Amino acid sequence: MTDAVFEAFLRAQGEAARQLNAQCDTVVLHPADPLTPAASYVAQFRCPCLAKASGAELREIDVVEIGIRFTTQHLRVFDTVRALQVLAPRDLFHPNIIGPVMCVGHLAPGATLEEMVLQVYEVLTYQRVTMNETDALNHEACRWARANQGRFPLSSLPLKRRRVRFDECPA
Amino acid sequence: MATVALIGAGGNIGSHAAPLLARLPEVDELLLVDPDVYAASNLRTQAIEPGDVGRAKVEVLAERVQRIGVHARAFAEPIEGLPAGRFGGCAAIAAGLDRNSARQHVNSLAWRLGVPLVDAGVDAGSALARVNVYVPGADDACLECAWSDEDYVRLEQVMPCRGEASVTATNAPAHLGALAASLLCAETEAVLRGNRDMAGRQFIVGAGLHVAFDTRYARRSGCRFDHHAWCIEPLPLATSIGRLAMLFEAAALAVLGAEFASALACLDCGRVVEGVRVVRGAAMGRCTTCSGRLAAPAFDRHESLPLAATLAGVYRDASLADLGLVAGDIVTVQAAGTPERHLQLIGEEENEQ
Repeated sequence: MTDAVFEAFLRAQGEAARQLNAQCDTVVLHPADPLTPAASYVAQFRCPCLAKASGAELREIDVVEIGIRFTTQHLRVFDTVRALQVLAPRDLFHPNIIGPVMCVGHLAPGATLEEMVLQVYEVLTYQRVTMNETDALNHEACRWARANQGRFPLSSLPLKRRRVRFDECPA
Repeated sequence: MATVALIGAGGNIGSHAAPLLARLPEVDELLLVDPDVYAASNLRTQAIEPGDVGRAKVEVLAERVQRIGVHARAFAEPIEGLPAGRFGGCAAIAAGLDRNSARQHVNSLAWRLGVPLVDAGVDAGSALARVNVYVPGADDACLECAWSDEDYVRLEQVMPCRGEASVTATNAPAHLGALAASLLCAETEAVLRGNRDMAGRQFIVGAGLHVAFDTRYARRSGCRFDHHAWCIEPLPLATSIGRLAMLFEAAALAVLGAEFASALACLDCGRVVEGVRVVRGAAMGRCTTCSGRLAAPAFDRHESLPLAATLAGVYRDASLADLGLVAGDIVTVQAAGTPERHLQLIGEEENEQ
């Protein structure tokens, strides 16, 4: 892998970020480092999510910030903890999230920004949930999720806005 | 006489290969790496005895190798957790691993250090034993040159919610492991004798079908590995951060096979512990509050540390050891507009020599 190939990958992700910002109502991506092309992004999700401070009541929130980082080894190795981080709030309530660490399931080395954003979105909106308590990062959230399966997904809106197909409209 | 490293020393291939490697006339020292302990189920597939069950695989094999009259050093850790420079003095690295992610890590190490890699494997279902030889060179193939996109998708991953990636047992019979071990030793001996013609070769024996295949892999231009071999200089481990920055006019510091973390988070209670330290492999210690596993989140990890900005204050007089670096670690220093320099950290004893 040459640096030029990785740089080309990062440039493609920069373009993907611009397209996602144009096509999505649920996420806004900002480069998180001064480099060009950027190797990290802050993804601001605007969707219903759950949070719960220790000993406090469960509350619904609608803005979550996730950090996305492409290491120089990203095309060879994928490690969720090295790639994704909950930035705010730190008390998200989800079986797959504890503090700044989240588990979004399998993503291959070379996973694109869009693939990562989609998988994070599915976790935040409870479309992707670990129901096995021994695997879950947040055991309390896992117990709650098992008892409240009828309440999710918290949002079933698609990540990208659906485009109207005028050619299929009735005359 | 040569030192050879055997990575994945205790398994279906490694347990047979260790004594065979020790009996090569060119070998006077073996470095044995394997994190596992022998289980009763290993008795049928590996070259061990009932008294070995419950003991660290590398300890058992080190005793066996030393009885042959060859010096052995045992490392009961995953290869990802060991400093890369431990293998810099090896004439060859022999591998009998059961994970492609570990193979990928060893491939990177071998290439950076300029050490030939001999990698063996088995396929129990087809009764195949395989050995590949990779010799770091300007145009030679590495392990990943033969990997497809699917191979990368199937790479084992450490998930925070499931802990260590589970490895499926090869379930290969002992004779197949012994066959792969014999091929591993034969090719390692050829490498030790300086046979450059081995580079990129793969030899497969189909024991069930009585067939053999001899293939040569070429360097693939689209390979995801950069194939950089490094020129490595020594540096005392006791060097302070400030002196390092001054000596090499270094602006940034990186560690081969590891990263720096500015904070660790507990995967059980969510507690965050601040402070700069080196993190390597998946093991990052335990939380002092709840003894849960610690992990360094993405934005608190740094592939390289900007020396001036990060370390000028609190860490200026700290040594590299204070950051968690150990003898054998290979650090890369780089200043703007200058080529990278690679330095292997040496402890006091090595320094006196």
